[in-house]
Amino acid sequence: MEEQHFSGEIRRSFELNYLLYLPPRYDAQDSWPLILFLHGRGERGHDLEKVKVTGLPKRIADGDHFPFVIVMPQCPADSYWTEETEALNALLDHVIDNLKVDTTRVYLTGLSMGGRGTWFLAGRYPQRFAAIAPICGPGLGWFAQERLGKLPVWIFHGEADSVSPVSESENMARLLKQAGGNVRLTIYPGVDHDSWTQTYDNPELYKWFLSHSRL
Amino acid sequence: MPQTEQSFSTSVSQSVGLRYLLYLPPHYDSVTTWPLIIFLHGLGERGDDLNLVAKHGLPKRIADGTHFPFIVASPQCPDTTYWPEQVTALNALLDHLIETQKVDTTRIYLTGLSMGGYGTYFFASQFPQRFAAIAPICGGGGWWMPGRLAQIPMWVFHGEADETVPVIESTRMVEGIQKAGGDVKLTIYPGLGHNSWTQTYENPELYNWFLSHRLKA
Repeated sequence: MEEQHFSGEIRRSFELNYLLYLPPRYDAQDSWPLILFLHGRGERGHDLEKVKVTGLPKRIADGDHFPFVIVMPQCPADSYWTEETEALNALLDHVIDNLKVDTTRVYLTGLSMGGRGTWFLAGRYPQRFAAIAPICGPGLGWFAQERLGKLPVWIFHGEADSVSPVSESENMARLLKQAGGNVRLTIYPGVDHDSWTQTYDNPELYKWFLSHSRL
Repeated sequence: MPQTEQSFSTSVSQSVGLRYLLYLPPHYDSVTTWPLIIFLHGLGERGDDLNLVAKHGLPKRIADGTHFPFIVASPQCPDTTYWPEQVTALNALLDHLIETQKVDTTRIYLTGLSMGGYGTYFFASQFPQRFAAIAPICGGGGWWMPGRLAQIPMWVFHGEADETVPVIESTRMVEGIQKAGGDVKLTIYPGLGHNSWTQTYENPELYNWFLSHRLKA
């Protein structure tokens, strides 16, 4: 066997459609905290109306307001968030360059496939986020253990989830605790896969986000 | 308008690089093209010392003097990174191998152990059209995304008593692939712990199975 070293320069293109929410009186403030929201598997595609079906974009579509800039991209139909991490990172750069974002208060959350995407994106770029809230999506324990450090994590899961077993979140919480992480776990008794509706309806989530900022 | 539709696109230039061990079969020059196996090591073999890569699995067998009728490329994952985030670099390495070696592009196989088993699922899921067959060993993380993986003939191996990566990672994956109508084989070694790779890579059936699969040209 011979030792070889390969290096090269490649060109990559990223493309994402997204819903953008700006808070009322956006102009009155110099900078705003930002939430990046990742939807589930069923909302993939090329029609942003689909993104409004669940979670945070649904609340906004229903008329609720939040003191955050909120970015809600759509994953292409044949892809997964785990494969869009670099595109999402580029999208964050783009939003920060073009909007009034407080880069010390960038938060990440997602449900189901978006919960899994939350674990991956945070693991890949942990320095970008002030806190993350993955909902009913499995992560990779060893990846999170080595990467997340003290990043505040609040995990949500339905106890009776028939799509993504609750043991996935229990395991992630245990591994992060073992590694000295800052982790909180909320399990909803008797709740199946939809643990996101009550999570995004809970004002505590937004307060918890705002209680964390990167130094 | 509370929330507005936006679209974003960009193109960036990215530097990629990987060190790798390259094995060429005896009589390499006498044949026009060869099947290729890409082997992905586990967590403990990361770093910048390629000797580590030959500690386990297929490169170990080669280092021990065994020969195979394949080109075998065994890249090394840089320290503190993981195969699932090296997919872009791995794909560029595959392009590079095809450009520089005599590779039969209808017979490219992918295999890996432990973290390399995870990497096998991630790489194959992103580029399913490149592989004629894949063999993830005691890996995981794939059950979530059987969709594209169901296109690829797959042989999954796991030790029943694995405490590092539980066997359910493989059984769930296989169930998902079967539901999606895929062609999948599962070998569970009774009573075996995490090291299910040694006997897998020693099994001549694995290589026969690889060679029995070919992409339509």
